[in-house]
Amino acid sequence: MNPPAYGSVRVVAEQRREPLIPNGVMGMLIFVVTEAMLFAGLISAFTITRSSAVVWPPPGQPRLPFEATALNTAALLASAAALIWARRCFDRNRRTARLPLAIAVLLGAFFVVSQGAEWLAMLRQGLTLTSSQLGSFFYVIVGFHALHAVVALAALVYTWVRLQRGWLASSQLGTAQVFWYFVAGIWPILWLVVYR
Amino acid sequence: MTAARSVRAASAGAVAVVLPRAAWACAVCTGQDDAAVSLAILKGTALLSLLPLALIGGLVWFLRRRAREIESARGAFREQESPR
Amino acid sequence: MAESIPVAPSPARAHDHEHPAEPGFIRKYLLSTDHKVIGLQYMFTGMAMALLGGFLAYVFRMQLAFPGIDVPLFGVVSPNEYNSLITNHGAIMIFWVAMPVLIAAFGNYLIPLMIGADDMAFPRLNRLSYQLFLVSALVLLASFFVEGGAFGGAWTMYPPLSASSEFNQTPLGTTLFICAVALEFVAFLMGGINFVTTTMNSRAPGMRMYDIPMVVWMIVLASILFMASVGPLVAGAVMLLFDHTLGTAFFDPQRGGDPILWQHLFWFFGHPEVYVVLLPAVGIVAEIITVFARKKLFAYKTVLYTAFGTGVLSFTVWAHHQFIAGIDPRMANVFTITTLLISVPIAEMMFVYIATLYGGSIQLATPMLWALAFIAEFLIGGVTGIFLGASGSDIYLHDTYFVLAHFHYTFFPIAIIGSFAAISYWYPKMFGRMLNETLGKIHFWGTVIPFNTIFIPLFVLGAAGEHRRIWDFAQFPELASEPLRNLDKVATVSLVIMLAFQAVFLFNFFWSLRRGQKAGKNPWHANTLEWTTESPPPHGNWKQMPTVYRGPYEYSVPGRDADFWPQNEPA
Repeated sequence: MNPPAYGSVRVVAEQRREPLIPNGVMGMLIFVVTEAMLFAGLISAFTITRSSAVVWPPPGQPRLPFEATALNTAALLASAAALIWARRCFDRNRRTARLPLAIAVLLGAFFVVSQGAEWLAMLRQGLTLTSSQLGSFFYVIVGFHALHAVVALAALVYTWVRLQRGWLASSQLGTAQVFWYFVAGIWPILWLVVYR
Repeated sequence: MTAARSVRAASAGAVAVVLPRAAWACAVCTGQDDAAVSLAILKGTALLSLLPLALIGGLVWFLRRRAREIESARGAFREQESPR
Repeated sequence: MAESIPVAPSPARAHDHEHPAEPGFIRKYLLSTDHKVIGLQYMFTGMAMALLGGFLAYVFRMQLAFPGIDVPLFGVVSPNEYNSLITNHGAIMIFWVAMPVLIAAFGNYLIPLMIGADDMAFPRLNRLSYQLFLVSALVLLASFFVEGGAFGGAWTMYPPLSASSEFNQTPLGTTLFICAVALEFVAFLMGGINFVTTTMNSRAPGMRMYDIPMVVWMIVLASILFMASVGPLVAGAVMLLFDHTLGTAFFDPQRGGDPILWQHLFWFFGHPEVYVVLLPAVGIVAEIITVFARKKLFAYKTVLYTAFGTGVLSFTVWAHHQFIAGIDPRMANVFTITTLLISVPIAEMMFVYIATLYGGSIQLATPMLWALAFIAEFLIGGVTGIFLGASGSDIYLHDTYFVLAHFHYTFFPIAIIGSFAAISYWYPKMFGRMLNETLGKIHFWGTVIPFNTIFIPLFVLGAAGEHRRIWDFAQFPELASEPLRNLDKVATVSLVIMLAFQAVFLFNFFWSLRRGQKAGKNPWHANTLEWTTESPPPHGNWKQMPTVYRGPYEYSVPGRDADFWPQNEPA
């Protein structure tokens, strides 16, 4: 058992802490596990409450716009696809990632804005937080998701600004990517469970 | 315990688990039909119990794959790198 | 160290260059991102909360043993106050003592030192984690002073008691309680992300997976369990808060809600939580018994894999808290089986520790006494759990003092004995001086003996059918018989004796800060990396970063003069 024959001190310093994946991405992945469990808890609560209801949606309450929200869902998924495209461009040549990243931001913003419009429409139709179990769960579950979407969108805008100024590190893009994929990936499940 | 007896004991246990719920004394049953809720709770339980295992398992699998990739990429340096 | 590796400049160090002078009090203690300062802050906050939790226990135990008495330092206990006292005792001891001390304090202090890193992966997130934790503790304390008093619906917060101030009569106290618990979870979420990322990414060169000391593994596994289980409870806490403040009806059966739903979400977190606090204590004991038995840990990989197994199983046992809540009896059967199964990996760990002790040259220093007490006392807690895990006997024992004695026999060894073991073992590293051995032993016996005389009578009371959460047993003539009341008095007097002995510990702790014998780098002749730096370690931990050459438990290796072999010493 001889001590290692390092080529030079510098090599050692470089090899010293080579992370499996960058700290930010790792931390975000663990955070996403927690978040996924949060939504799993909400989904299971919703399923149990819904199964014990005699009629669904509850009397006097509007049906959720399942079909109309399909467009939003498609926009969000397209935004995630644009982000995948942005990563590919980024790895080849940073500057070419500007366009796909901008598309991802715009599609994400479209999702958030049209979800907001949908909320206003539902409020007008008499679906509020306290009007029924449907309203309570709708605003809590979709509200949680909207909160995540807004924060993730802010993160995407921040990465776009950094990219524009040439400061964006690969790990920063990776961190924003993980969070945005989570927001986009959990949405179709919520849509299928809650809206139908 | 012989093999046959173990098999018999195990299958008796398995049958006990899947007996219809009417066969079990129920401490707080209300008498109304709550099969749908019961099923929903079962589903929720399964989701909550298994999802974290799948998520953590997926993360560990991803990290291990990543570690292998890095290691094979650095194969030439392997001996110098490991102090043992 | 043959290899001297220059430390790469890190953000923490760059920070030092900006402030070459000794930083002021605020910068050094309130805004520090140093993992050691944050760890100690967690520890001191946890100790202060433990004193408060102990005081609450003293007040309601006095009421139980001597109903209607004017309790010294408190006064007469009303039924509502009694409920607030037991609720906050439970919540404080679990969320503000066991978790901050075992996971956050020792995780922060030990992980970077034991894996050879200069700080956490996210130092500023770490800072924020402690600040949020402090806010959560202050919010909880504030709830004692608002109108109506502190929340009194038990730490499990079952609706409808918790969902409507019509029932709990503490409109503000309940809101503050739920907010405090939620804030505390966010704080530990940040801490957990930090622990896992640091351990995965910042290990010293040469430290492979099986060279990581057991306590680091255990804290990391506990963090993972915590983070994977806390989500549903955060969801439930938000729903409960909305029920209580905004008038939704998630848990109100009259308006289509389901109170059992809360138990579902709560216990999904609540049971893994037991293993979240257990695993770090098990890791601490592993470190201590190897050092004081001068023996290699028997079957390192077995301990690690059984800990993984415990983690996997811990997600599938939680419905055993609902055996009498009307769950499907078939589900109760499955959960009985998984609950009994989880005793297998835990028992395996205990056997491994006993095998480690076998044939070792055991030194009964104070840390070792605590570690041995942990094994013995936790065993009683584990064995009595079998009766509660089996759904048949649980229906009889549910919500009696038997349950209470059982989980105190698990939580007390974990949170109190485990913390004292860790504090007495790492005190020299934290403060550079030794604790007094004689005082340490007096404190040890003065804590462990009364602990048993508190809770063994409670097993008897529980088996006799005495229900928990009853303010005054005089209203239940069949439970108010003289022998049973006398057992209650034994428990209360023991508690007072145990609390009195904590003064010995506090005196020892603060006296030794200045007057203790100087410790030097490695007073226990231990192998792990934290003992290779100064005591207390400087900012950045090492002048030269260590390189790791072997596992952490190479004690009494044949053919060597010294009976220990530090991890960073080249062959």
